[in-house]
Amino acid sequence: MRPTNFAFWLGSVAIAGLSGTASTAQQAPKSETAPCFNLSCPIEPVAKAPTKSETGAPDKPYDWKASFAKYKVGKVPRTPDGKPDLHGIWSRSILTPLERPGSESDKAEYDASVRAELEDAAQQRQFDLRTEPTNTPPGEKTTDAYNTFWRDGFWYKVPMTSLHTSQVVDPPNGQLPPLTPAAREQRARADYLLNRPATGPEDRPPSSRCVRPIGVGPPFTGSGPGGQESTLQIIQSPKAVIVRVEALRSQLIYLDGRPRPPASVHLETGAARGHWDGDTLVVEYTNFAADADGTARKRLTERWKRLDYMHLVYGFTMDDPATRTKPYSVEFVMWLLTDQEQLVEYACHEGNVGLEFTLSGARAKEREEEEQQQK
Amino acid sequence: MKHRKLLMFMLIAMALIPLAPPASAHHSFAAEYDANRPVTLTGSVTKMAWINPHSWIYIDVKKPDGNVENWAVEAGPPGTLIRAGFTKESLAPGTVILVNGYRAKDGALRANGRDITLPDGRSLFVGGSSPDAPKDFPATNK
Repeated sequence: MRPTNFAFWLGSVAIAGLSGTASTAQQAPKSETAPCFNLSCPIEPVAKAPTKSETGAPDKPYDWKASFAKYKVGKVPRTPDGKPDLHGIWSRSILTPLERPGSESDKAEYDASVRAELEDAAQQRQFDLRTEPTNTPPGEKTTDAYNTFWRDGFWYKVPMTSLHTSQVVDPPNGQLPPLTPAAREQRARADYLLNRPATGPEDRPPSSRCVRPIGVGPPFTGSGPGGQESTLQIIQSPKAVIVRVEALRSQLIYLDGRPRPPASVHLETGAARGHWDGDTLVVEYTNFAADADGTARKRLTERWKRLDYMHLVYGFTMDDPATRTKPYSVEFVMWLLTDQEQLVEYACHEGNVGLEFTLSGARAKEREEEEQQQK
Repeated sequence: MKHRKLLMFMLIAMALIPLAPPASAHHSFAAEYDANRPVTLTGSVTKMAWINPHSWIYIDVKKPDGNVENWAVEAGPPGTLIRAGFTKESLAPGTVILVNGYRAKDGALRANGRDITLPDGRSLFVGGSSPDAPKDFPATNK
């Protein structure tokens, strides 16, 4: 690592900590941190050391039956074999933050009267963002408004599809359990690589290299205003369900009772086996690839239930001891895209000129710095 | 009552800042574009490339000296454009557009399209797949 890069990194850590955007620096009250909509969000600035009570198995498994029973169920389309019909292109673009904002720390649900105002305020925020420069990474005037104009939430209001103040429903405080030290280190490293000037394609994050998109499941989370590839298409038959994710990959969920792959098989998004529990599709994932600490212990259970023509409630419990100190559960309501007939192919590699321009930008900056030093 | 409303808006404002953390982007803005070099371009469309992970709009921009430069303007992914109400007909070659954006760091004739309008202020889009898509182009903050 070149000394200038190291200084840049140290500066990044310090300033990111102050501005509350990322990283390992100290304490910021939860109320000032930003709502975030996917599981790859910058790590929280509070250095949360796991306490004994937070580690290990949950006190009791999340009661999904009770949780889903709270939703009003309308007329649900059905397939010829009588199962709920999940077909359609569904949007994850919703206003519920992944974790509960500090301002709502004492309540699990918003008052219904604020829904419209929150939706309006979120869209206004998207308009305003375009013109607000920020200072991340440090030393460079940048803008968080990168392509805001083109994103979800600018051309339409992102709907608040439920009144939950967080997508995280368990732990009951609406906060994800702390990251493990190994995951924290991995995340800090990723933040550092993303924010330092690129030295070559190899040090760019998997998303920039079109290897792996950010925030795309399974498991899925609501993407919020500012999302981009926030849709998925469900194709269903009696023997299998295919979840086509707009960005990059599809998930094949077998319903025919076939055995799981041997334990030696590790897959990036796991092996999915589903079954119907009444009108809820339950999908259990195993055989995930190794995680932050080199182990492959991750288990995921998803639940999909169509509520009416326009809405589908989705929930998952993730038990990922390499990443989070405790299992956690997330729940949110997707909405049907009624006027989009098909997903547009997301061939990320095809036009990923951004990688080339990131490198040429970094070299141009180096030349500029050298010229300034010579003066 | 008024006071309560103001307080609520302050809480909302606090809760929503900032909604798009930089790390959620495909890659960082700062890696490619220079926020200190905003550009305003008026030109006629020569080509629209519907490619991933970002679309590109090419425009011929006439300089004061009469020379013409062909600029490439970065836009959103095709899937997102469709949901915003963008169609193949939205930007036919020859359409004159006004682009506000930021120039590429490496100095090439390339910009991030912060926002794009027709010179008379009309929007290119009609709003897309949403329960309550806005019909009017939102106020710009020039």
